[in-house]
Amino acid sequence: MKKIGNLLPFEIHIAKRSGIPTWKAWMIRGAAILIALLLCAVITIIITKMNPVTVLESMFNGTFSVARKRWITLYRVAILLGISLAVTPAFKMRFWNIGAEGQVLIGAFAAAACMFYAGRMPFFNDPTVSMTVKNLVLFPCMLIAAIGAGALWGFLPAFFKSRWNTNETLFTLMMNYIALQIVKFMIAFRGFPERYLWSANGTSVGNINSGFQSFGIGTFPKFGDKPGTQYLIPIAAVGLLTVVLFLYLRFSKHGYEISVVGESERTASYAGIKVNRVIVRTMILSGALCGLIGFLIVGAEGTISHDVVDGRGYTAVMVSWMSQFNPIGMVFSSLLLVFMQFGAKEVAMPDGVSLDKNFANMLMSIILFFIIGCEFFINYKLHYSRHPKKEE
Amino acid sequence: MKKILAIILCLLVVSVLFACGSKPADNQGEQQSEKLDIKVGFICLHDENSTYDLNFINAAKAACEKLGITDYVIKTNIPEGKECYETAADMADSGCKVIFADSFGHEDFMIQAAKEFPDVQFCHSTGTKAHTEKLANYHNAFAAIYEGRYLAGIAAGMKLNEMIANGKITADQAKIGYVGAFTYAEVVSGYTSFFLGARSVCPSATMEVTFTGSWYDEVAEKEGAVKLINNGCVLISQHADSMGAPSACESAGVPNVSYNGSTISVGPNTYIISSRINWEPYYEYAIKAAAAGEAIDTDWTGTIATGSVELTDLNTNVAADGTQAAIDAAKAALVAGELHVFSTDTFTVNGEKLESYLADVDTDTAFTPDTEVIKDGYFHESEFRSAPYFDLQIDGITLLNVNFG
Repeated sequence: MKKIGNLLPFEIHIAKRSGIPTWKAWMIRGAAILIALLLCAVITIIITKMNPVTVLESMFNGTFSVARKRWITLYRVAILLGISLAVTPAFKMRFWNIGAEGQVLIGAFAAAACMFYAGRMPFFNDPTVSMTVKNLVLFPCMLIAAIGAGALWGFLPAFFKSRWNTNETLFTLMMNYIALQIVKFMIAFRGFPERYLWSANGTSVGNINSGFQSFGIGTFPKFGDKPGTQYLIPIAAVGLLTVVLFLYLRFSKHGYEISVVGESERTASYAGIKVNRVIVRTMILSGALCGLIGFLIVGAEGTISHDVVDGRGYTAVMVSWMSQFNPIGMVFSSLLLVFMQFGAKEVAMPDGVSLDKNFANMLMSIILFFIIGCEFFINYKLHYSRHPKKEE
Repeated sequence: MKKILAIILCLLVVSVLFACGSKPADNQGEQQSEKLDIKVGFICLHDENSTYDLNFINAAKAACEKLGITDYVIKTNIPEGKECYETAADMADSGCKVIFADSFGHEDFMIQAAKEFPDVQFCHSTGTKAHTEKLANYHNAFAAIYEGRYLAGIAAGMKLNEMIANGKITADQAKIGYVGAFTYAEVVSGYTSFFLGARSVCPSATMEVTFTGSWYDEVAEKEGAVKLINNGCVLISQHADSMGAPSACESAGVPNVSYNGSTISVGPNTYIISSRINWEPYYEYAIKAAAAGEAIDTDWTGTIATGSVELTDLNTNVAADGTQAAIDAAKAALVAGELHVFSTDTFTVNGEKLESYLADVDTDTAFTPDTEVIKDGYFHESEFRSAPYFDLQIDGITLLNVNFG
């Protein structure tokens, strides 16, 4: 600090703010987003050497131009938002759960397993039974399996934390890898009898049951046969979840207990709240919601791979955090991130090659860095002063 | 607050500057005359950093340039999942009439898009399902790369002969090492044809094969090559996409026959020759056919004659004398149809000559053999579908491990 101080023509003092008016805090956040977007624009221009207006135009075209894209964009927002909502109760409790990635994946895994094995049962291959009946049987199984698997993935770290005070960050992180390897194993493994195998080639499963008569069971229907409408169910489900979780956190007794435990565990236990019970209960809820999202992903996409969650379990933590655990804020944060991430992939370079995932992730990281970094300026105040005269 | 404003203003100025600077570049594209009026899309699993995808991207650009197509789009890093379908559907929405995908796992999603867009042609390289799906607008393509491997094997055999003649090794020490990715038919077909090529000029040759379990794993490929060299292999070849094996060979001073293009940059003293698939002829063929409204082959197999199978850059400093002549002679015989790589006279399985073999040509989860592939005295590779299906374990080749992923 001293060295930097000597380099600059003035000194910087950092002081904690006692409080900041809400409007001022939002001004700082707004400015941070603005700077982040400008920096993204500059980097995009330097790399693509294209007119920023053209770039922005292709980003909009890439996310909103036709009905199919609007559906896909909304669906992506819904999934990111859904995972962000799912991690929020635990984070509000200051339980550092970074296991959403694994909880969603294991939920997706369970839902996909139901689809695979149902697809090889005689009932689901019976052409006289209508698709609607098959789905009415299969959807509840997938839903229960996914929620159960996610809840288990949430329960384990919470149980160990409450019983033996294990480190939840490491535990939840570890659970991600277990989920990942289970999925990879099922896709690559060939030692099972044929009817248990998932993949015909060991690298990807393709569309689940595509080789069977039961192709298509367990996937959400299209409405009016319009492209992209298979995403309506997950979008509606997450919309409902947003409202329910907002009410749960704001008005229910559980929600109150979560915030008290988050503020101070000691206060909570003096107030007669059973802290361990709240931790375990909330983590089961978080895990179950993640599992639900896993079900929605598999139902909408009809496939599974080890990268079906694609890091969104981690991004969601930041979405939740930067929205101050406010579900309404998360809607806008998710929208912004999805727009930047998937819009960027639609920008075609002059040589015909489009910008890709790596570039999109770079833009997203810039935004996250600024938004989360600006909390520093909300919590602390900087004072500048001229150097006192040199000591010598 | 003032500081922040100042920063914002600076950024604005910079962006405006860039905006002005970039305008001439935009106009340039529009001025080019269009020869073939068709929009084309390419879907790639990874980007230019993978030798495999780079090979496709270069071919895509070359084919479009040759046909005078300016309206094309290449999407990289598209995983083998729903995103492939969405990308293909999106390309079709935006007016692409031919869409290519380059990775095996893209297949199901390309088929899904093909069913939704019957007026758009979907061409999938390395896939296996076109001949069973029977869609008019869905096509598979591959190349008879086993012929290229065979020719590269001849270069390897010549090198072994030179080492025997120099007294560096004895005839029965002529053991080749091979680093493969997975124990799939594509790799089995590759190393077997390579071995048969080598044995056609060096009869005492044997081979050991190890699998890494990944298409791109530099460390594993390097370790695999080192293991083979320690086992007494005096020449190495590989079927995986990194520089791992070539660089291990260079540091051990062991000759290397490469794949996917020249690796002379990392192995100037050990690299002999490389075989590769050139996708440009296929792209050109398919785009032309689609533009003219003609049918595209359900299974298209590129050959030496179509320019799809290439040998690149013989390194005369390392290769034995007369290698080029021997390769040219065999190449001519292959093109003329006088020579068959998998002639049943040249190999045995469990000590016996094969008269009949059912291969797994139609994809299913159980790998059920379904098609007789041996007739007229040779194994008919890449004829019943474009992707390889030769999966026999022939005598003379030892597998150190197997890896199906």
